[in-house]
Amino acid sequence: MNREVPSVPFNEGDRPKEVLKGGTRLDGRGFEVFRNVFMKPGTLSQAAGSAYAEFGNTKVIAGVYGPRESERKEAFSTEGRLQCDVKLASYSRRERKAFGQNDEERELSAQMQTALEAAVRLHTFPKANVDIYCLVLESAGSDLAVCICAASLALADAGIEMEDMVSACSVSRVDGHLLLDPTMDEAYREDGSALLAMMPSANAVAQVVLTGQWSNAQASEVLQLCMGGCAQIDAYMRQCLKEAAA
Amino acid sequence: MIGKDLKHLGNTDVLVGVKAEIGIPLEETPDCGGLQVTVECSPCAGPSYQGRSGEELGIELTKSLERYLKPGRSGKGGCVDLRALSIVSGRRCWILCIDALVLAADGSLLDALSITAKAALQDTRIPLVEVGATENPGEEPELELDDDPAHATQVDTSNIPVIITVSQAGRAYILDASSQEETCIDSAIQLAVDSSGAVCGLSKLGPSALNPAVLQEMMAMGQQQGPPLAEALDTFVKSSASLMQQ
Repeated sequence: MNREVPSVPFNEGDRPKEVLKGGTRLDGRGFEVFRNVFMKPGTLSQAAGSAYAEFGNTKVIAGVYGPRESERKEAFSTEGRLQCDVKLASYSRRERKAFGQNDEERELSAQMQTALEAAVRLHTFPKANVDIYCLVLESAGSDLAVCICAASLALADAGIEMEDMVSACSVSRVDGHLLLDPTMDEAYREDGSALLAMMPSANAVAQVVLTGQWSNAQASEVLQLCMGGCAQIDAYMRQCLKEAAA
Repeated sequence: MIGKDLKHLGNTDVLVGVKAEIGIPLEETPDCGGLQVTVECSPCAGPSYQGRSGEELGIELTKSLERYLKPGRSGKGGCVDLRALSIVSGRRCWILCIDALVLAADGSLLDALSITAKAALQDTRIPLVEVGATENPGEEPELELDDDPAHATQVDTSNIPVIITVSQAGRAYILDASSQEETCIDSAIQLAVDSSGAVCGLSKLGPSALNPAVLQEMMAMGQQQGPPLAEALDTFVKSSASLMQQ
């Protein structure tokens, strides 16, 4: 296969240049409104715990395996280890993704690991590994936030002890407006972005990533907005778990 | 065309070289030049950098550095103005390659890399390019390079931030942690701060969660360090440049 030729999508419309028309978003949402959120724990039969999460068109499935013996030879540790692996399906975007882990997936995995390590009580499974696999079936914006939510729900489904559930959301800044839960088109036009993973009941930040330039006022505004978003997602995740257990 | 710099931060040694190449701009951003970052961790930097783990750390550092320097996919929000690197819209542009080598690692790697990269960019000269007139628009533009260094242009580095890692151990916050100190840290934030003290990027590291109030305090502490560090770097680069001329 010739790797020099990039795959050209069959149906390639241009990405919209303007994502805010007359002060509203293209899909008609308010600036601080999520897309349709759907989550379901316990979707994989082979995994210790699993979950499926959907924010609009972004679809993620997460599986948790363990605690189990590490496959790699690793040094002794009195704490357990968490291993995160985020994978983008090769058909998840317009362009086909080449085989194998790319740098973006590595970065997503590392950021998810930081977010979840803060919540999981690693000392409850010394020497053992918990593996979390996230597969992004469709990537349509806010991928990392959806992955973290799905993984956190899967961990709860697996009965792994956590300090608190982790919920996450992201925000894009477009033309000075803060857009909660951006779509891919919106993220393409952003000049700054934020991702926050929170443990709302413990009031603790598990992961935070800001890009672009932020004034102090706007930085705290975006963090406040994200915190509000995380609290909404957290409430929904808890409700999902209760319904699944009933 | 080239700039390079060596920085010592305690026992951390990094070497950064910047090269400029002529390339083709991305389809999405025809009026922007390119920026490419690579960080390599030499196995002689420390025993933990052999083989795969060194490679993985290199990719992680590359991604973080890129996140702070590069604009988003829209070409907006970055700290290096890529529009200044355009030569012929949609056809030719300058691509800046920032190649960093970690020679010795003793904590605060990303801090050292960002400072050195900024210094190297300040030192970078881009030759003047004259575009020959072409009759039909489909024809490849003819470029003529002016090799007189007096006509070369500089990269605008005034908005490029430096990265400051603020670590938290118990109730104390530490700046510029050594690798020994890094082993006993609960969590840390990497804060990109420009010369005015504004936040240009943020990411959390480490296994523990952070209280939002603590996060704000750590951010404020990092922001305070930005302006004096940028000023010190500026005077250092200027004095070493005048030494070179003598």
